[in-house]
Amino acid sequence: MAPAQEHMFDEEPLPEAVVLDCDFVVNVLHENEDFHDECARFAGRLFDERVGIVYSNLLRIEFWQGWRRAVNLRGLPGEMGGEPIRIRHVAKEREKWYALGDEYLKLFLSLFDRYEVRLGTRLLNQAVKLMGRHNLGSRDACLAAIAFHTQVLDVVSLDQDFLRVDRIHVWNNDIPARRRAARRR
Amino acid sequence: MKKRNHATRLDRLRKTGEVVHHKRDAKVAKDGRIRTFRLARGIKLEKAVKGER
Repeated sequence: MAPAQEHMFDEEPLPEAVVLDCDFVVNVLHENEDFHDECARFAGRLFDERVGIVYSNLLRIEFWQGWRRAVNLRGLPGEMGGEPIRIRHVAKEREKWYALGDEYLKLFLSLFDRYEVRLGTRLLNQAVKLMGRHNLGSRDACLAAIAFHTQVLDVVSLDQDFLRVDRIHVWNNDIPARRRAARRR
Repeated sequence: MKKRNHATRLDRLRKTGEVVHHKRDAKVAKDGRIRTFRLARGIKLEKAVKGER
């Protein structure tokens, strides 16, 4: 089975629509993430060239988790990083941090012509087949199922597991290979 | 051709309720006024905002 085809972020032409993975969105929106600059530039290209975006109705929930991890590992974005943290009210502070991430996500999505796919029984049945066929995690399998179901086969994902899915075009700027190399060092 | 395939398929899914389509912010480009939208350091996406300068 042929692997997915990888694309760099500066490649031409861009597709008319792409499926967005949560990891990419977190890297766009959190300035301390490793690949923030290149992901943000690519998001700017998608915006400038009016590329439509496709995502699952679970994106928001996945994003909360990714944002929480990013804030815990990488700190707060500049907008809030300068503010003093009131230790006594740390739960209140956390509420603010996570609300900020949620607000970023909503603003980001609103910039695009977008298609939100509702995961129903048919898609979930397709996803479980893809999990087995390509040895994918459940979230990745759902995203692959969305790509096949909508026939939007261009996926923006930094996840190397997608590379096992044939017929998919993965826009990743070679980030999975760089991550692997960094882990070996 | 590629674009038409996407559009046709997504439109069909929209009609069945499997896909919800949101247009790029409805206010965008209505009056052509643009402000810089900063999400964080390093990202500047242009967003048109109706009624604000």
